[in-house]
Amino acid sequence: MNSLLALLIVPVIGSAAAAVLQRYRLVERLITFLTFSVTFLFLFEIKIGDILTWHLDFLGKNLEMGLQITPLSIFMLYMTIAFGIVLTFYNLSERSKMKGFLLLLTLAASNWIFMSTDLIGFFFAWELMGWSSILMIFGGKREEESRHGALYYAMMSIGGSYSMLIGIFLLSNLTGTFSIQSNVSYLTLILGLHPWWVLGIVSLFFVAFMVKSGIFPFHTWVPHTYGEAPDGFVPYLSSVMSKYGVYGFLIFLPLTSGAHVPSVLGLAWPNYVLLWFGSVTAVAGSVLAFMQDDVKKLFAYSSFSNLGFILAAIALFTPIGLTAGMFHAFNHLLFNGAIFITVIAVISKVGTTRMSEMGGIWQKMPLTFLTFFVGIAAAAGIPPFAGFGSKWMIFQAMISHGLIFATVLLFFASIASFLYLMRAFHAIFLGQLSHKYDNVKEVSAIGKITEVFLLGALIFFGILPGFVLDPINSIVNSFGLKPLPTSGYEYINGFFSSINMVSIFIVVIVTFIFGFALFAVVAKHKKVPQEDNYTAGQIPQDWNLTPEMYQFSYDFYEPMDKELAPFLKVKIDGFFKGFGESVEYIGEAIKEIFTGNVQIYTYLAVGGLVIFVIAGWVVW
Amino acid sequence: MVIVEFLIKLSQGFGIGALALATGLLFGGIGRKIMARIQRRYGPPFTQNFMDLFKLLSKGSVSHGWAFDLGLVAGFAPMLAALMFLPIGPFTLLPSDSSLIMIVYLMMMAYLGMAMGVLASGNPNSAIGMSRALMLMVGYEVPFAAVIFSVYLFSKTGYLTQIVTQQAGGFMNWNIVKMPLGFLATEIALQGMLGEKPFDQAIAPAEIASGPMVELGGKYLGFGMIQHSVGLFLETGIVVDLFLGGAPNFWIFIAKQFVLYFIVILVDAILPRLRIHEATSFFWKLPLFLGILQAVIVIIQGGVLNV
Repeated sequence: MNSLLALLIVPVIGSAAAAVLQRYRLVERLITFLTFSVTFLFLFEIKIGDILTWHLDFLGKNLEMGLQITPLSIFMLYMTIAFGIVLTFYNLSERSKMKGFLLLLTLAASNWIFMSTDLIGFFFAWELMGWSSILMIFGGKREEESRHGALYYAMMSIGGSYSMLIGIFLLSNLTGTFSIQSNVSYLTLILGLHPWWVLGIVSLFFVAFMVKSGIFPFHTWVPHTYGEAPDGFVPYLSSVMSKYGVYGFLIFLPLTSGAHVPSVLGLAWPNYVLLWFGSVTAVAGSVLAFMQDDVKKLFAYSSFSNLGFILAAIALFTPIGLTAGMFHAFNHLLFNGAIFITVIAVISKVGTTRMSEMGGIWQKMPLTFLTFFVGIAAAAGIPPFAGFGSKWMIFQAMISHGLIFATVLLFFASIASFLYLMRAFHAIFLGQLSHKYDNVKEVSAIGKITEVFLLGALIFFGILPGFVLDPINSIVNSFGLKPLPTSGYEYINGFFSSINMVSIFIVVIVTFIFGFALFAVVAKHKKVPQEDNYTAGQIPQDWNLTPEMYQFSYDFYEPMDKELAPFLKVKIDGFFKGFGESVEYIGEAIKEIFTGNVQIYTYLAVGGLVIFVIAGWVVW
Repeated sequence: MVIVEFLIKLSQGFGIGALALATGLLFGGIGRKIMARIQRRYGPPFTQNFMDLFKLLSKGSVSHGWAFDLGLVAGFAPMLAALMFLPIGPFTLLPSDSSLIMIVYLMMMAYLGMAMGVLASGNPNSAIGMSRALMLMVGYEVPFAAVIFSVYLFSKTGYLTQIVTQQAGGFMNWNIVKMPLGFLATEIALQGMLGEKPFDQAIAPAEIASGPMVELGGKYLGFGMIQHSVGLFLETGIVVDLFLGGAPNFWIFIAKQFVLYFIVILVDAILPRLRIHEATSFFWKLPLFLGILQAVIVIIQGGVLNV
């Protein structure tokens, strides 16, 4: 069997098997995990340049469809399937209502998206991915809310898909072909002549990608959907599915490079606009995140905030910008996966998603706590963990272009990410442990293996970034740009400086050893229970102090609300709501016509005929 | 050979750490003395901070569990790590990695570690203090980002070592002359970074019981003191390297650092504490305006790099 085809067929077969054996939960989970693993094995069979084409007779037209492996697609495939293996392995012990067969359908669709050479296959796969994930979200814990989340997501996805479909038809009408490559080169060709046409068509596609990645102003569905999706699916949703948009952007971004388009600060202005969409997304996500009390929603905001970073970087479409963006896409997948997997582990143990009801879990789940800690350190961009290198490169890419306002905004978003990460860290893991969690236990052995693996990966790719940067360099090369110089697996080469991550790692390790040595050498300490705490001379028992009362995590950044109030007044959510309401109103008005009274129908028919005749007469 | 080299670097690293710690403690002591004289007190001897540290490290104390211990160690270890990349006078231990943004992020790891330790203690005062510290950080880091931006574009490099060498050859080559607005923004941001009045909301003595430090005692408070002293050395050192042209030798370097710290102390002596949201939004007004203005001037002068 052709291994390109196997990447599509194996998940579908697995999906069918999982659907049949749905009743036996463990078997279904096992099938899901094994299918992901087998699909991953087929990845070793394929190499860059592999191609497979077939012809489809459709309405008398002979359409050429195909699959092709480019450096970008193989990078995406490895990334997403490997993460899927980790997640499905973790899910073997997870009890949320995640349907394995839908996940496998998503996998097949995602493989097709990354390999498709024609717009028909791309669109079909896009829809398959969209619908299987929508159905998945219906299985959330809270029925009413998860239905709302799924429908919100469905509406936005459908909007995006329509937009893309119109784009596809316009494009194929112009060129007479559905091949992605010839369409893009055609657009490049006519860009100088009809820039507005090209931009119009491309923005139709970009709407779909922006919806999928949750880019401002289409970010509103993200918190609703992530917040209500089944726990076991959220990591996939935020780590993997948000990257489809990035892949889509990269199809059309090469358009403006080398073309004669008016530029702003040395950057073609469509790219400049896209960069601003990215920067605003990054800031909006960070600011909204640190006001959340629901932990899944908090990280939903954080997720699209990071997508804003990625978009801003790839929009530059310079070697360093593209490298930084792809690198951040990888790192985001990794640290977001670690964060979300630990978060759902905690949620499954404590049974709530409200952070103000948690606290002090570190005493009960030490390994989960450590994994989460390294995850947020990476997300905050702290060396030597994965996540530092890409943020560092993004800043350099932005600075080298002289984009002062966008850079400061991104820096602000990066610091604000510190705020929400610390808030989640404190509210979930630190502080006072409530007595109702006395029986909470650490995750099962399977969960422990997953967490250790993620912990290792976060450190490994932090200190040896070359393993990711090498494939990224070939992606950069395939886009016709000059890749950044490489000098070994431990180096990250930026625009202004280069860094040896191993030497940083060694320095940090040495100072930590010194720190622990000092800790051991100097005076002794004795451990006290958490109740033994400074209470300003009061005796806690006198006023019935409970650990919950002594935990400050609700409205953690309350003073900031006042400063940010003007920005929060802008409600994009409200815009979509108003749009929905007016659609409903028009629908109601149209419904008024269909009263069931035959007389009115007759009038309508006659009126329609008259209009039809007059219109025909005028036209001819 | 590699091992010998490593051992040499290790011993040099120890030396740098000890020097930075001693300098930071000395600055702290002198600062207390100056403050006392301004308030017409006699004040403690300027070696008081050394005595305090030795006392603290030798006293038994209570721990709130291993996350508390780990957090406090992680509070000062990365600070020392960041120090190894700082050009101190003519000497840099690891010059090939002295990227400015990397140092700034490494310092943040220390804050993250410290936050983890004090929050693990489960005292709401430390949680309030930490939330204030973070809110203040989102204030002062933004103008500082604009300054980093200006310096990067102006010097066309990200290495602190190269930024220093570019300023060689006298006062007129210093970045303070070439980028005065950026220096002003940094100086204000420095006040916030060091947590001195009017930006001492996180500690806020007599309001939230010293905030993050409320549960610290004995060696843990000692570790906090190490973090603060090394942080003081590091932050003033970065500003010296960025704007005051580094230094030909260690003593001049310290002297320049002290000038910066002296300004901080004087401001600290005369201003009251702001409320936290006022402090944060203050950084988004004047300092940010100065920083961005400086960046715009740099862009107009030097043009954007050709990418």
